[in-house]
Amino acid sequence: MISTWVSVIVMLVAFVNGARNEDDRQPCAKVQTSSPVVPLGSPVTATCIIRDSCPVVIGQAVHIQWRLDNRFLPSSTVANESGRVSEVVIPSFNHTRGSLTCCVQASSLLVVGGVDIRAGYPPQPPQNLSCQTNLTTPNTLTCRWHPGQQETHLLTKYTLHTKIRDLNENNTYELPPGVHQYTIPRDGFVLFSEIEIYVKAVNDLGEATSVPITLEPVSAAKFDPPTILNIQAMPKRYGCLKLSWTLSEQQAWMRNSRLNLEVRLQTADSSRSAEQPILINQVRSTRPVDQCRLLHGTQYFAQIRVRYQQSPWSEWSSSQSGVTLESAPTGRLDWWMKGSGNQKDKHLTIHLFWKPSKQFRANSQNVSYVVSLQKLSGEKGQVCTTMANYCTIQLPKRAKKVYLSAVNAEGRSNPTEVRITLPRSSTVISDVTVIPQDDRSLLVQWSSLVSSSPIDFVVEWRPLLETELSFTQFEITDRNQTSLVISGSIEPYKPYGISVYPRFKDWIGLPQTVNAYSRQKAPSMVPKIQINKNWQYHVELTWDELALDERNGNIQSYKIFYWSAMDPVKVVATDPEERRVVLKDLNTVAMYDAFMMVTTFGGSLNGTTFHFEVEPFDAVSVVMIVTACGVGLSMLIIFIVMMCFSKHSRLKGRFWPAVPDPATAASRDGHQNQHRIPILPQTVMSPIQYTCPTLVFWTSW
Amino acid sequence: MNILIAFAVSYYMATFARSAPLPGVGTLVADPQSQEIVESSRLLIQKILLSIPDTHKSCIHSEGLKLNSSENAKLVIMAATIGIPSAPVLRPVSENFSVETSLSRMSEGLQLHRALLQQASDSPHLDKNDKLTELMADIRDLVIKTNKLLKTVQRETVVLPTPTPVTLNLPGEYEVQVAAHLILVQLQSFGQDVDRSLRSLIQNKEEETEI
Repeated sequence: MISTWVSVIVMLVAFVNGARNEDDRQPCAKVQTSSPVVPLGSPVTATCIIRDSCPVVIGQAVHIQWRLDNRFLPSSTVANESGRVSEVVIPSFNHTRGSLTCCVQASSLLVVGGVDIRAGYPPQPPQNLSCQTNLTTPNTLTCRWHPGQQETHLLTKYTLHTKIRDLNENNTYELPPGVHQYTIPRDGFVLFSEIEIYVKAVNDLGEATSVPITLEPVSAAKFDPPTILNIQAMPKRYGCLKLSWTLSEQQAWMRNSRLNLEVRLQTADSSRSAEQPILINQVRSTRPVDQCRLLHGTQYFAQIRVRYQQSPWSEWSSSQSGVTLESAPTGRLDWWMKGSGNQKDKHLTIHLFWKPSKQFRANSQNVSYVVSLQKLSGEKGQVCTTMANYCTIQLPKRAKKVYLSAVNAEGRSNPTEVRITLPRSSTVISDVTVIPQDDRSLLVQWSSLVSSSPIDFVVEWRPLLETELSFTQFEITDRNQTSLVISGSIEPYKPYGISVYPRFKDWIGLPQTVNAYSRQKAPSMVPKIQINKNWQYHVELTWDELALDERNGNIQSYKIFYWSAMDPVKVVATDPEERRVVLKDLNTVAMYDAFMMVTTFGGSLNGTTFHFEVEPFDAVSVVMIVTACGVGLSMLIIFIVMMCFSKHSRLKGRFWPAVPDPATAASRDGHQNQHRIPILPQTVMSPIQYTCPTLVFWTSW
Repeated sequence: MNILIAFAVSYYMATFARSAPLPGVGTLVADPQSQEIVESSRLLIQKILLSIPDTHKSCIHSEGLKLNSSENAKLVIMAATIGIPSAPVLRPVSENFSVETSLSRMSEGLQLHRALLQQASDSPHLDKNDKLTELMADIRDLVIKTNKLLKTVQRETVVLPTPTPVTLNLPGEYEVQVAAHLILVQLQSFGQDVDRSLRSLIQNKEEETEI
């Protein structure tokens, strides 16, 4: 009996303990909200209900507080209905994500429940849906779209939906988040049947569907670039080429289909390229394509691209070339002639230049030019035959005209008459200026005397670094024109000689010539400096002119920078014509460093540093000192000699007094006056020596 | 005079007789939409025929199994063992062989070969690869086109062919390889017949070339 009661009591205690533990595992509070996902900026209402059996609130009044993440929500948003229930209203939830927690203030702040709130936007309809078929094995259909401008901030899933009409089959393809393209496998579409495709976007706030597109997959394919097999001239059809082509191997099965082809043709001289590609509809790759209305005897480079119906164009094929049939040249040549010779000469020397006029057609790839004295002549009258664009010819003085023709294998062009006009020393042109326009063009401007009336002007230019006449170019302008932009053959950093000639009916006036650059930069080299003279305190530096191909521009100035340990940097500048500078007031005890800077209108270049010093006594100084001393000594000797032989006793007495000879004085006056005369040392002197002791001194010296 | 009249009547009768179209073909020839379907069908069969060699190379690894080989005739017993049915016979369109029959057999034969390839590719002993998938999809596309043409020709009731289901006997890898090989060989031959039959339905055949 007792054991039974003990068992019951133990079971009751266990049950109570179990119940208590169950209570502990139950949430203290339930936080409810109408929706855990809300539109961004919309109000959020949440209710917190704390159960009575929550240990935190047992036996005590609690104050419920709300937090959003780590921030307490203001009490104005909280409505506590009782000690156990609280409601919070967030007027505008502006966070994309937040944890809304219900807290109680007991001995410390405790979180009793919470809910995660997410906010965002419903999806926008996917935009710009487009699909392209890939006809390379395996064939696939890739669709892309734009999710819309607005970020949803929510997990948004995209699905691609297709409906193949002929199969009555619908497919749905789910995409991973963040992916906005999908490649439909081959069994998901029928090549020649229409398929309707649309994209749906879904998130917790709604769904949106793109505008559907309907397409035939083969018509949405971008083909591989086709291949040109062959380009040939067509027999007896001038100006035509036959172009054979094929599709790529991956699309060879389409070769019997009707395709749209675009042909792009360009000559080797790109200035004569076709402006627009030529469109040819409904062609099969099994049939060649004819292209006509082309230049004769001209090499063309062709490229093609292909599409099926309205599909995207393929990329351009690689280029192939073909040459149209040749025919005789047509059109006239523009010419420019410079002559020289005077009345005494029997012959004239003519430089004749020419170029194709706008109407000229070579109609061949190999054209030569013939200058002849007769309009219709064989080889007899020819004075020049050349492949170049100029001739230098000797003509009889009486020659008034020559005739210029272009010749190819198919014939000769109609001759262009060239009038022989000789120069006359008449200045008509003035004020020629050349202004660079860009790296490859120059604006030439000139003015002419009002009284003159040339028939036209010829602007001639040539690169000064080249000696060949073939580089000479010219342009003929109207008589009323006073400016011309020359371009094409102009290169930056290279000098050009530009001349403007006035041309009259029977003569050519004197030109005015300007050397110019379209663009200048610093020179390539600095001249080598020679230290020529070096005398006390001055140094002269000289240098040679830079070679024309080293200048890269018109030399603006030369500057010498020099300094020493005791002197600051000094600069001496010279004009470009003067290639010499004298450095003055130099310190004789210092070693100087120096370098040259050469400047054009496009930049400067510094040379390497060189050294020099000024000697205190150089050879010149020594010579001068020795010379001065020698002159002085000589003059002194001369003076002394002159004095010695001079009879001017007073002057002599000044320089040396007469000292009697003791021996002679004693014999003459010995008996009368016996003075004791000191006995002088035994020095034997000659009378002259005695008389000119100074001379004796110098002699013995 | 009577001879001349008889001759004239005969001449005009012959003229009218010559211009009389074959049954069904005239309808297709006149209808541009159908002509487009015929052309796209022809492109598909050319795609199928061009892809068979590469598909064979990707699936068949046994050295003795080659397309266009005289050795294939020796596999007739294996074909029977595996249970590969023959392809429907296609003949030139004539009074005894209508366009409808031709199209119906084309559809039936194509569906048959697609089903056979599907069975073979389901076997673990055959590498299911992109080329095989592509080939089966191309056959499916051609079946769709052929059935469309058939609907055009069948003016009254539309009866689309459905081949009898076939179960292949593929106990081992060798049988799978032989089955795939023979199906492709047969498909190649049948496909050429389909190509010729479709070509006969094209109105303007001047620029067409055969595979």
